[in-house]
Amino acid sequence: MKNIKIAFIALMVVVALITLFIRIPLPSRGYFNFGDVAVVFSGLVLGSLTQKRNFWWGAGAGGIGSALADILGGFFMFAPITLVAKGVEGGLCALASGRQKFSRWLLILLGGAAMVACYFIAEALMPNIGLQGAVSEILPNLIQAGGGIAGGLLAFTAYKKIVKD
Amino acid sequence: MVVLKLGIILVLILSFFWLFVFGPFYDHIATQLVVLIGVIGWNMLRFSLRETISLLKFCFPFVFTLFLFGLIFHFTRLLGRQDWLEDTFIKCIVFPSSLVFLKVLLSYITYLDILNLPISMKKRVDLITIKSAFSKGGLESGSNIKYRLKKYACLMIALYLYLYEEIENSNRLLRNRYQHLHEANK
Repeated sequence: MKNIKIAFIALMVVVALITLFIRIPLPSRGYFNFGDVAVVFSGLVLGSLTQKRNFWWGAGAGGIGSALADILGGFFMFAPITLVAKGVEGGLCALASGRQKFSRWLLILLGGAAMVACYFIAEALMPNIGLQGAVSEILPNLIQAGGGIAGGLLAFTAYKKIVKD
Repeated sequence: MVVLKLGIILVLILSFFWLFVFGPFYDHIATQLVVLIGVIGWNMLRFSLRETISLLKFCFPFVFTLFLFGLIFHFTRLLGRQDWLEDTFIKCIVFPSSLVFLKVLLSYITYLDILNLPISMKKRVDLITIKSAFSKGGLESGSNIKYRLKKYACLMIALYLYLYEEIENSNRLLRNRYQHLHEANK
């Protein structure tokens, strides 16, 4: 098994466990969590490990890990949306990993925005949540995305230092 | 036979989620309570009382944060909703019951089943590695995760580094054994 595959499996489990860790209920049947930190972190780590298909490695770890957390945590109905939303976020972070300054920040921010947009569209279309519920979740999702980017970048910086040492 | 066994397990998982998490019985508190007691009892029979208590302890922080915020939202009447407490109570039951149910059912998938699957050896090794990674991620007793936590003071990085090392080791062992058996068969 190649190193990237081992890292992928390890990060997928990390994303699932961190997402499950702390949870705050939201107006819909969903919950606020700190999984985005792990999604951003795993995207950046996997992106730094490989240049080939790095989007898909990041998307897989972020998307599958988060969707697994939804399934394990009793929020099965959100799993398909989470798979796409967190997958895009993780994938864009993996793409950002190999880039410098502006394009790096742009891709990471796009990842966060894509996650919020995916949840908004999907929740607005869900009959038991609707447009009103989806609108009320924009702010918590934005906070979650912002916290995820800040925490993920910090963890990645710390990780790089640890790996170097 | 193995495919049939895995198929039955998959059907049971999907039926459980369709009935109690996603579907018609989600709002039935009494049914959810019976299901929770049932899966806890099943876990006790399958494993032990001690194991069940440690699993419930594992669930406690998650359930507690859910309940705490539900209580705060209820008393502050967030978004004008009156049903925060009821909604939170359901979530507090659904979360442990779905977790315990999945854990018990997935425990029936053994390493031997994976070995008997009609797939390539490479894929078998990958599946075994994923199964072992999840059990390691459950922070088994006796693991050196506590040491890592103290050293790096960062759960996520420590968890990642720990899992990476464990997966790499178990994978190396698996490959060596497979190679050895392959050569012995020749």
